[in-house]
Amino acid sequence: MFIWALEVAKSALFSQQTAIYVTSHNIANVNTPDYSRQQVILSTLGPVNLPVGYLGRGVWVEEVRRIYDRFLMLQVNFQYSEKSFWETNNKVLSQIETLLGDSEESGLGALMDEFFNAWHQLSLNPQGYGERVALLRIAENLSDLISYKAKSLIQTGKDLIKEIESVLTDINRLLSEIAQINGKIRLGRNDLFDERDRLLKELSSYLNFTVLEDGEGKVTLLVGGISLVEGLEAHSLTLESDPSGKIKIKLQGPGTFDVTSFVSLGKLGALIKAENEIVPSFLEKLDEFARMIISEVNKLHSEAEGQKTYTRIEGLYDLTNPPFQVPQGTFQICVYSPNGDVGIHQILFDGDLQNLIDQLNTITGLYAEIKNGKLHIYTDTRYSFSFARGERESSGIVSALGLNLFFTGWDASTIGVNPLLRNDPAYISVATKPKSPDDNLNALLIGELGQGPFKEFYGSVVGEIGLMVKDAQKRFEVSEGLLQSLQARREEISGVSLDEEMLNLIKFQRSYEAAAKIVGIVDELLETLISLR
Amino acid sequence: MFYRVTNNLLLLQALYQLGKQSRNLGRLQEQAASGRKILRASDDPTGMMISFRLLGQLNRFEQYKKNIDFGLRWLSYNEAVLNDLEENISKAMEVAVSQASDTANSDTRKASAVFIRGLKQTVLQLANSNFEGRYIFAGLSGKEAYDEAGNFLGDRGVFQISIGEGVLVRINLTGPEVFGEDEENLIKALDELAGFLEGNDPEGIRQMLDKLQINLDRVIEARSKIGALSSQLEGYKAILDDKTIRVNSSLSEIVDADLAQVITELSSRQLAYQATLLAVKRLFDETLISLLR
Repeated sequence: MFIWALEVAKSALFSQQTAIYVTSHNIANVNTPDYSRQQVILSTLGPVNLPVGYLGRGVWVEEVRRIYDRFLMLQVNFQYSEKSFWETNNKVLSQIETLLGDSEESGLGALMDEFFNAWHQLSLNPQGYGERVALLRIAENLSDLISYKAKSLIQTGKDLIKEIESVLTDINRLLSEIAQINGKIRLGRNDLFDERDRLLKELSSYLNFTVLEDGEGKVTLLVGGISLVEGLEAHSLTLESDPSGKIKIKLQGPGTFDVTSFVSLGKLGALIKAENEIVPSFLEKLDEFARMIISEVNKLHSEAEGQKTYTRIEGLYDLTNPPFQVPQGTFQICVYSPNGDVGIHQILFDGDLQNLIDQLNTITGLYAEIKNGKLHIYTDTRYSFSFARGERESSGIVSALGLNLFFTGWDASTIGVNPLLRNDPAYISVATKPKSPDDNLNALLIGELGQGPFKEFYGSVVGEIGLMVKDAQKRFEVSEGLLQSLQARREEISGVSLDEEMLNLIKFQRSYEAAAKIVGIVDELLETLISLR
Repeated sequence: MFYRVTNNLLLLQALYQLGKQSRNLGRLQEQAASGRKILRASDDPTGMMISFRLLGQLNRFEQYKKNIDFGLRWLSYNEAVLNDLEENISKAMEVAVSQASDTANSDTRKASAVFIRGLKQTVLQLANSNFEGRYIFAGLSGKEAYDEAGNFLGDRGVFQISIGEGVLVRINLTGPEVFGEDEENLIKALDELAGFLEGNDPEGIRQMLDKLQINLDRVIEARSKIGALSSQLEGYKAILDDKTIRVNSSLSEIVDADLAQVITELSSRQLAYQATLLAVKRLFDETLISLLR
């Protein structure tokens, strides 16, 4: 009987020792991220049948259980994908916002006002050299700023691709680590479950996926129904771009699958959206804005006369593939002959370029031809020419032909000031009538474009990006709040409470002491027995 | 409510709250430092769009004011020239009146002829007046308006300035409008008068008196046109000043932060932040471990 009691005490000593060990493991891991606390499950050892009846054999550690909620984990992971989507989305949009946005004193809006005001200033003194130089300087600042913005946007797109590549490297590393754990995991290996859940959570920050878990704890990960990880095998994601410049995410498994459209959340989802939708759409808007300025200013500028007339002009646009559609209508060409007379010729463009060239060639002293797709007009010696509008309004033909331009280029990346004007500001067209150097009407008309739709358009682009950033910020805050509350729930269930562990420690310590006391008492009893003679 | 409160749970909550609060604090601090409500488009996208438009208006108003100032300078120069012109015509008429009478004789008329020829030179100079390098009566030709013989060399081009959105105003008078058409213009009339004086022809001198009167009337009319235009420009300038003030105040409503409000909010948020920090510290002091010690 005494020996039996000793056995019971021994089981208690061992079990309490194990419990203290688990408690200290919990305390040790109180700050380990995503650690799930462990609990010792004690149960009685089955009784033996003795003549006095059934007597218990003591205690044993049935299981060291990991406390966690699988459903909660899936929710946390989903919310984590959502949060990191908005986080990245917000980051990219803010970058574009800074790029497009303006401070009040400087920036595109103010520069546009300055540009049109410079035309007004020139209208007050049409022959002024200083006014012309000032106008050109401002125009260059304006076109530089527009193209700087376009180039920065394009650079943002390139940087995004680099970021996507590094994200894919991280994802592929996580996938193979998860597959490795699949090979080692079995029930009871709490540390591996913790490690795997940590990896799944990290993976969730990159993309959204489905998790299937079998009875042994092995997971299969799916994206769009196609497996990323299955058993010991990890597939990988690669980046490809299609001819239109859009990127695609390919899953390389037993075959190659395009999973771009399935990756809608996480950092990768946000980066794909930014690269394929957001950046191109703002670049398009910037281009549209630049085209508007180029075509409206050029339309007025080209069908008017500067202080100097041309003896030779080369079109700046390739007419085999013109950047601006050449409209039909009329314009005038004013030919100055050697005796100082001006002949004004009305030219009708009916859509047939050869016809236009023929009309020009019939004018005395004037020649026109197409070289390398570009229109050239030149004169006999001592002849010269200039352009004027055919009707009250400019037709836009001359500018679409690439002649007598103020701005060169056709979109935000290519906009620039015509180098001819930079070399000789006298070519800036201020007069609408020939032989009228003090005529300022054209400068007035271009100056009045300042109230036109450009500013409104650019303002709406800035407003749009502002709205998008604001929306993304809100969505980020909401998803962060939800994630926070889910993580708090997870912590409530799986987190380590030091108070609790301290109490357990005291409890197990006392139990251990009590069990030890039993050993002592049994020892004394045996002593008593043995000392009997 | 949480049933099981762990150490990390408290920390997690505190960090989340502190993060949110410091974001708010940062935003308020930015507003207080810059004095602006809108620092980037996302602060208030519609406000940003409106401020964009208003700023554009202000910049245009500034330019219109510059245009008007130029116009006023130009007009006052024109007015001065027309005044001189009127004086000179009056002098010529006085001479004509006195020399047309019977008390005058060929000697006085010869002497007056010299005077009138001098007067004609003055008038010619006035006709070729230039303002900041531009011949004011030459239209848009950019050349002198009249030659010695009194022939008009310029054109009838209209010189306009822009004084408001879509408002173009003509501010120049061309030679013929001030001096008359070439056949009977003032310069030629003075030449003719000098001729009659030299020729000792009272009848001719009397005829010229009528012509000079017509010229005087035309100049006076031109001057009153210029005067009317000046006051029109002044009126526009006053309207622009008024508009500038109004646009400025609506811009300030949209863009400027209410500093009193911002600073009040800032200090109350700061208090909340400090309170959170204090609460966290207290919580971590109160553990079983410290009791067991």
